Amino acid sequence: MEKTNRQSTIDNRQSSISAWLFDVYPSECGVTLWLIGLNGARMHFFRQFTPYFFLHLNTSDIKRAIALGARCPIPVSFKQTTHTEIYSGDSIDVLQVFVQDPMRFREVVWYYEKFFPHFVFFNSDVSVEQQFLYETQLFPLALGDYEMSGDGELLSWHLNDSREAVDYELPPFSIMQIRNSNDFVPPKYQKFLQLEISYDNRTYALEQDSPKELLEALNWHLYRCDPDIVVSDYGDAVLLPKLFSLSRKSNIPLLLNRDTTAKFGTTKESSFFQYGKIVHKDGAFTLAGRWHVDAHNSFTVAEADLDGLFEMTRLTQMCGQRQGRASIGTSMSSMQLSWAYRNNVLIPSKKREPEGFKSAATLLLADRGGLIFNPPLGYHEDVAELDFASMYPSIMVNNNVSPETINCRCCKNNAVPELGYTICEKRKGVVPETLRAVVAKRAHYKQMKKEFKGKNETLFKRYDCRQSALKWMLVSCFGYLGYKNARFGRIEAHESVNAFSRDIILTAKEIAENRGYRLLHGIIDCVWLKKPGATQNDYEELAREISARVGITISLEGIYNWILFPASKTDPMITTANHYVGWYKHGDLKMRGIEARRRDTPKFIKNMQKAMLDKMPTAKNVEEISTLVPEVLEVARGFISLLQSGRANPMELVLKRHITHEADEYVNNSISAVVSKMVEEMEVHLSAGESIEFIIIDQSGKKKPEKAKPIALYAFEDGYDIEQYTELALRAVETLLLPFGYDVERLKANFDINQPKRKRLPGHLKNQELPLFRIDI
Amino acid sequence: MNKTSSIFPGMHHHRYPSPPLSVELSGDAVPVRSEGMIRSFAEKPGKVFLLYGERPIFQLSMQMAAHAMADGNSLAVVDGCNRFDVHTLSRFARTRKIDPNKFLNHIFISRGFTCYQMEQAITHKLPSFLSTIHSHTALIFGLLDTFYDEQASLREVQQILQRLLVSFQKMKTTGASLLLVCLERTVAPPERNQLFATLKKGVDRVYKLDTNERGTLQLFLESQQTAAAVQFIARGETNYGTDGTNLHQPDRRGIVKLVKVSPRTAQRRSGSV
Repeated sequence: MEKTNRQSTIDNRQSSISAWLFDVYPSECGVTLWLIGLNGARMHFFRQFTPYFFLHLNTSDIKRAIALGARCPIPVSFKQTTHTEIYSGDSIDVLQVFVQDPMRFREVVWYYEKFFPHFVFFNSDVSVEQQFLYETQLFPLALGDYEMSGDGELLSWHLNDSREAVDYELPPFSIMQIRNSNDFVPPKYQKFLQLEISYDNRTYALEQDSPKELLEALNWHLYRCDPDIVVSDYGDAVLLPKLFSLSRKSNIPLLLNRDTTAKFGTTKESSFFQYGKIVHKDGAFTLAGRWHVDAHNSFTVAEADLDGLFEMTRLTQMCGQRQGRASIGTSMSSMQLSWAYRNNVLIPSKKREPEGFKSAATLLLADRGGLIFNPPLGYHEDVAELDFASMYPSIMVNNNVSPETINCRCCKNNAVPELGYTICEKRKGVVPETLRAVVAKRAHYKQMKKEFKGKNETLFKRYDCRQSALKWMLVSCFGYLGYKNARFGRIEAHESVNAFSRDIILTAKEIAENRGYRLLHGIIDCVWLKKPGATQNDYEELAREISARVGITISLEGIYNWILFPASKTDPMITTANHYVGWYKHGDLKMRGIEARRRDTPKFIKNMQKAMLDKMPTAKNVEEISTLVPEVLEVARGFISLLQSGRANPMELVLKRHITHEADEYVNNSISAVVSKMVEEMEVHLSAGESIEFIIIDQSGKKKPEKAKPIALYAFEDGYDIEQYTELALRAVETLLLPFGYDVERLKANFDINQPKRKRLPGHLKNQELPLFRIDI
Repeated sequence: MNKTSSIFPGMHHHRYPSPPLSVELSGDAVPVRSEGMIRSFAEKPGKVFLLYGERPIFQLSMQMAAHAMADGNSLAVVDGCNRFDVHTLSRFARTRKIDPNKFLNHIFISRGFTCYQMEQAITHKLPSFLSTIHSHTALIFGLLDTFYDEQASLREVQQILQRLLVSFQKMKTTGASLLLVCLERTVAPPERNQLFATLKKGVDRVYKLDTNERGTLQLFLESQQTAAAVQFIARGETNYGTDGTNLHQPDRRGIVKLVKVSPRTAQRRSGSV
C-alpha cells in the first residue's frame, strides 16, 4: 500500500475516509485523534468532548458542590443523574461534574478533593482519552469509516471492526528503531552514546561530532521515514530524555512529535513492591501523533513483540504508548472500566470495599491457595502430564466469580465449595464478562498457531505473539482479584477461585485413581500421572472424562520417557513443587525451576546443565539413564575443568540481581551493596528495583574487598572467583545426579577439586595474550 | 528464646521474670501488670485503648481477647497489618483446654489492605457487625500500617484518621470497647509519624510494651486521658462533606452528632458549640 504524504489537507467540504484510529490525546477543545487511512494518509482531527466525574453527596453537600463550582478556576457544569453502585447493584443519585477544559481535568478533581472525602468520588481518576474511548466505544487500531467536517472536526464514524475480532487488518505501519550502537552495557552506564537509526531495512549511524549535526540528522531521518511507531531500547530512561536535553541546550527543535503543537509527555520513574519484591519502572517519554515504545520498558513488547502490543491495544482500548508501558493489571482494569462505562456502573476512585467479617474458623479454611501434591524424589519413567487449559480464568467465567457477585445480598446458594459463599445468579459479574473474550481469543490464537506451525513462519509468529500477550492477562487475572489496588477486586472472590480449583484437582485425582492411575505430582492446575502400560489414547480418554466432569478442558501435554523431581536444596530428603526436568516421548525437553531455567544462574552454568541434559534424550527409562551417568559426568567435568583453569569466558559468568535499596541505603556489605556503590561512584544512580549485572571476583571479600565488579567496570584481568563459580556448577550437577548418589562432596572428590583455587586469573596467563572469548551481545 | 511468655499471667518464661508487683514511675510512663490492663479492658464497656510497642503486643492482645471471650462472648477483629494468626489462636485455645473450633467460631475477622478499606471496615461495617454478634469488644490491628502507604496522600490519610477518631468515640458511646494494637514504627516520610501522635491523643489510654532497665519486657501505662480531652481531639470534621462511607444510606445527616463536653472544656474552645 502506497503511503501518501503526511497530514492530508482537508478542503472545506464534509468528507469521509476509511481508516484506522491510531492515536488519541486530550486537547483544549476535547480530544485530538490521528487516523491512518486505507490510502496510507496520516491525518488528525479534533472531536469536542467534555470529560466528567461523579460525586455522591447528600442534598446539602450537592448545593455546596455547586457553589464551589462557581469558585473553581476552571469552568465546570453539573447534572444530577443516577448510576449503578457495583456492589449493591442499587441505583444511586450522583452529581455529574463536567470539566470544560479537558487539559485541566485533574486540576478540577484536585480542587474538589480539598473539600470532599475520597469516598464520594467516582470516575475521577480515569484519564480524558480513556473516558473518550470508553464513552464512544472506539478503540485504537479500529478500522472504520470516519466522517469529518471541512474544519477538521470528526463528526461521526461507523466501525467495520470489533475488539473481539480475531482476524483483523492492521495499518501499514512505518516503524523506526532508535538504539545505542554499543549495547554491551545499558546506555545508562555509558557517558558517550552512538545512536543508530533503522528503518526500511537500513541502519544509519548518526554522526555526533556536534549536537547540531546529531539533531539535524535525526530530524532529517524523522522527516524521511515519518514513523508511526518509534521503537527504542532505553528510550524512556536515557535516549529520548538525553536528546531532548540536547535539543534545549543547543536550541535546535527535536521533531519527534508528529503533532508539532503538542509537547512531549514525561512521567517520573518509580520503585514499588510487587509480589513481595521491589521493582523499578522507568519514567515514560511519550509523543503526540506517534507511538514511542521502549522495548526495555514494556512488558507487553518484551513478552509478545509488537503483534502482542497491537492485540492488547485493541482489546484494552488503551493507546499504544499507554498500553506499551502498562502492567497487566492496568490492562485488565481498562477492560473492566470500559465495561463499567457501557453498563452505567460507577467507578470508585479508591478501592475501599473491605473483606466481610468471617469467623476465624472460616478464615482458616478460606485463606489457602491451590492444592499441591509433592512429588516423590528422583527419576520416574512413563509419566504423563495433563494440564487444565486456563483453569483459573475458566473458573471465574464458568462460575460467575466476581467481586460483586460473591456473597451478594439477593441469592443464597452456598455455591463455593468448602467455604459456602454465595454467588449471584441474577447478575453477570464484571470479571467473567471481561475475561470471556480473552479466554475465547486466546484459544483461537493457540489453535491458529498450531495450524501454521511449520507452514507459515510469519503467521505462526503473529499468532504466537497474540496468544502470548493474552496469556499474561489470564495468568494475572486471578492474583489481581486479590490485589489491594485492583479497582474491582475482592478477597472473597480470590478465595472462591482457590476453593474451586482445589475441588477440581481433587475431582481429577479421584477420577484418575478410580481408573487405576497413580497421581505422582499435582500443582494447582496440572497433574502428573502414571499407570504401567497406559497409552496416549488411555490418557486422552482420561482427560476427556475429567473435562466432562469438571467443565474445564484438561489435555495431555505429553508422556515423558523420564522425569526428574530433584531434591530441595535445603532438605535433600524432600522435593520442591514446580521443580522438574524431563524428556517427552515426542522429543521435547521440559524443565522448570532448575538452574538451567533460572534467571539468576550464570550462562556458563546454564550451558553446562543443558549440555548434560542433552546427553540424556535417548534414555527410554531410568535404567538407561543410569548407564549414561558416566558420560554426563564427563560433560560436567569438561565445564568445571574450564572453570577451574580460569579460562572460562567471564561474560558467561555474569550474574544479574535486582537491588532492594539505593546505594547509600545499604547497611551491610553484601555483593549487591558493594556493586551498587561502585556503580554510584561511576555517577550512575540506580533506584531500588533496578538490576545490576556483575561478576564475582572474590565472594569472601578477604583478598579483594570489592567482592564483585559490575560489568561496566570489569576488565578481563580481574579474573573471577573460581571457588564460588565451581560451587555453583557443582550444585547444578548435583541437581541432576543426586538420585545416583552424586552430592557436592562426592562430585568434588570425583573431579579432584578439594583444593581451594586461586581467586584471580592464573599467574601464567597474566603475561600472555588474554584468551580469546567469543562475546555474545 | 521466647520473649513473649513473661508478659502473660501464668506463662512466665524462666529467663524473663514476671513484671514487678510494685508500681515504679519511669518518666511519664507507669509500669503496670498485664493482668491489670486485661482486667480494666474487660471490666466496663465503652473505652478505647491503644497498645503499642514490641512485637509480642499481638499475643498480649490475644490474651485480652480470650478474657473478653471468657463467658462465651464473641469478638471482632479488624486487621490492617495481616498479623492475625489463626494457627496461634488455635494453639492458644488448646493450651487452655478450650475447644479450638468453638473458640475460632467466636472470633470474626475482616482484613483491610488499604487505608480506605480500613476506614470502611471500622466506620461502617464494624458497628453493625458488633450488634449482629451481640458483642461490645473489637480489636484493631495495625490501624496505621496502611496509612503509611505513599499512594495515599498525607492530607487524605490525616482526614481518614480524623474521621476514624470520631467513629471510635461514637462506638464508645454505644458501649463498644476497642483495643488498637500496633507496632512502634518510625516511617520514612517523617511527616507521617505525626499520625501516630494524633492517634495516641484520640484514645482513652495508651499502653506501651517496652524493654525495661533489666532487659525484660514490661508493660507501661503511657498516658490516660479524660473523656473530654479525647472528644476534643476527636471532634473531627463531621460536617466535612459526607461523613459515612455507606453508600446505601440515602441521607447521613443524622449521623452528624455534637459531642457533649464539660462546661470548662467548652469555655476553653474558641467558637465552642
